[in-house]
Amino acid sequence: MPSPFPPTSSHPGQGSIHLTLLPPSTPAFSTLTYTYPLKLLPSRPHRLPAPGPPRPPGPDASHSPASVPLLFLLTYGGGLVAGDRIDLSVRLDPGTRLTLTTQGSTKIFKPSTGPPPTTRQDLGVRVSSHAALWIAPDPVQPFAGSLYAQKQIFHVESGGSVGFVDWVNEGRKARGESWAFEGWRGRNEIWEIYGEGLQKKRMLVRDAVVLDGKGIQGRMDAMGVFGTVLLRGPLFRALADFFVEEFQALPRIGGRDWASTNDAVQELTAKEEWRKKRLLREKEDGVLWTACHVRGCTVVKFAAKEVEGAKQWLGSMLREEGSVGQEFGDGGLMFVR
Amino acid sequence: MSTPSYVSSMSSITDEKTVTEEIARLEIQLTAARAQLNHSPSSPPASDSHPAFPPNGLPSHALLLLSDSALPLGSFAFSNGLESYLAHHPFPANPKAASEAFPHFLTLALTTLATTTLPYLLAAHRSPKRLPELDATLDACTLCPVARRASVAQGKALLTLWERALRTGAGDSPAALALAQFSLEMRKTPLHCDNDDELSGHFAPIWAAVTCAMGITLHESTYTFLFNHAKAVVSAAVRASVMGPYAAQGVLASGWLRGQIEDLMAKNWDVGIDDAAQGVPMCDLWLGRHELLYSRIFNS
Repeated sequence: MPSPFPPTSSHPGQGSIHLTLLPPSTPAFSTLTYTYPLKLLPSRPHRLPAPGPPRPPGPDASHSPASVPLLFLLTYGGGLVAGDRIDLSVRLDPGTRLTLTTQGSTKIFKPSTGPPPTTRQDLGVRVSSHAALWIAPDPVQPFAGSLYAQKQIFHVESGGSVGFVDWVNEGRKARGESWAFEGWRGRNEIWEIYGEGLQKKRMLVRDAVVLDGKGIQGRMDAMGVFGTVLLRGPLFRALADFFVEEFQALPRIGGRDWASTNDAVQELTAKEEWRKKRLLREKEDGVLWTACHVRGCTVVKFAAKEVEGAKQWLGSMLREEGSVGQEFGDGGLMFVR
Repeated sequence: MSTPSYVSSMSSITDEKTVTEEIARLEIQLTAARAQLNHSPSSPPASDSHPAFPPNGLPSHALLLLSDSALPLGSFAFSNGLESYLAHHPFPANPKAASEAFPHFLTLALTTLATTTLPYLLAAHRSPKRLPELDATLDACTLCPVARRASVAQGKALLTLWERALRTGAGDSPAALALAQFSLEMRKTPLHCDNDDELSGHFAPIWAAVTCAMGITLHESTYTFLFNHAKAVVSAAVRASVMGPYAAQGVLASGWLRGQIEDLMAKNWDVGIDDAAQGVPMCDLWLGRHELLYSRIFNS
């Protein structure tokens, strides 16, 4: 859908990031602009080991940058008031890597009077070949009565990688809010750019959620947070496989757990030990999740009773598998700390 | 056409093969013309004035056919999330509480279908030639493998049914042509997965094209689609021992269900495919986790 606004650099909430690679392998922002209420704050980049013998399996080492910049997406006051619009475009040149994160949940306020105008966040991303983007924000927190829409469109060239977490919680639980907003709409699309001269594109996946109308709370089945992880490209392959393998290794629902009766003496590997603990935790926190490979991407959906439980689960998965920390640095895991 | 010229034109055709082709072509035209006559609203059946038939005509023959649960689409094999939902939420033993729990799930199942899929049905019925494009987009939007399997299985079954049984009586409408083209494309096994127009055969757009080709209006097509879905869920509920057969018919007959379907139709009537979205995110989880059930009697 074309933007209804003219493309002007002074439009409030607009931001632009263009990351390029200076020879031999130094990443540099050739563009980093933003306007109120959006703020982009660079933090300490993650140094990658120089291409040498002991490289973990991953993309061709010759394409690895020397470091991965970390950018915080901030909004003034930690949230967006009704009618705010954030419009961020990100462009990653070949061989670059970038981590985007936030410093806390993005609160969506409702206006003090009148019907709420929609608060919007749009993100347009172009990831070149051998470039990679990891977006790991805290959840969106829509307050009672707010109206919110977000759209994240990713164009990924063959060989490029993109991974992101997109989650929303029930609002201000402490004030008794539970899915009490007017409306929440989210759409994520991953497009593949391919062919000679990168002229062709096709939509690989579109993940869209709409929560509006009456009785949103009834549809959420007493969950306090719901989210999606979408992964595409070689740099996220290991993580994607890990999610799907762990999903397939989940205990069968309604099956009897024969192992627990007399196999206590059986020695567990470190991974089995971790899995056992994680499963107990999942049960405690009411975490439900699924993972599958679909159309060249990997989709993970999850929900939990509370944000803390979802954070625990997601953090445990990402840390155990390890590639996000390795390839993007600790900044990429701050959101689940 | 006068007899002499007919004879002379016949005699000019010497090749037997050409004659056979000509006969086949004329037969198709005849069937098409007959079908058109049958469908044309301006020419009601000859029996119009007979006292055996009410002034508004009998209910649509095609509609009765397509709303039959004996239609060989295999819909009975899918509980549309109910089985997994039950595994996550055992229904209360108290019959009164259980009788409230089922309508709640049915509402969720219908809402999911209406918000994710109905826009594709509406678009395909309004413009059948968009069938391949709608199928491809719907495939990109169907991220849950269990939902995809259910949709594709029923879509392909309906396409086969159309080809083998329904097509002959349906004429040459744009929808019928779109379906013919679509099934031709479907049969070409794709060699590369980077083909833009790789077709899957999802249920909703094919349903729309078939109903359109059979002269069923958009409103009837939409209502029947949702109602058939409700019937599948209710029938699954009976087989999963959630309710007895009389209670099940009670749900289907209720004004409550009718109201639900009408509400969903009204709410999604003008939603374009770009705005189709999952309205009950939890359904994706239940459906996706169907694969984790220890024992299963349904495919979804």
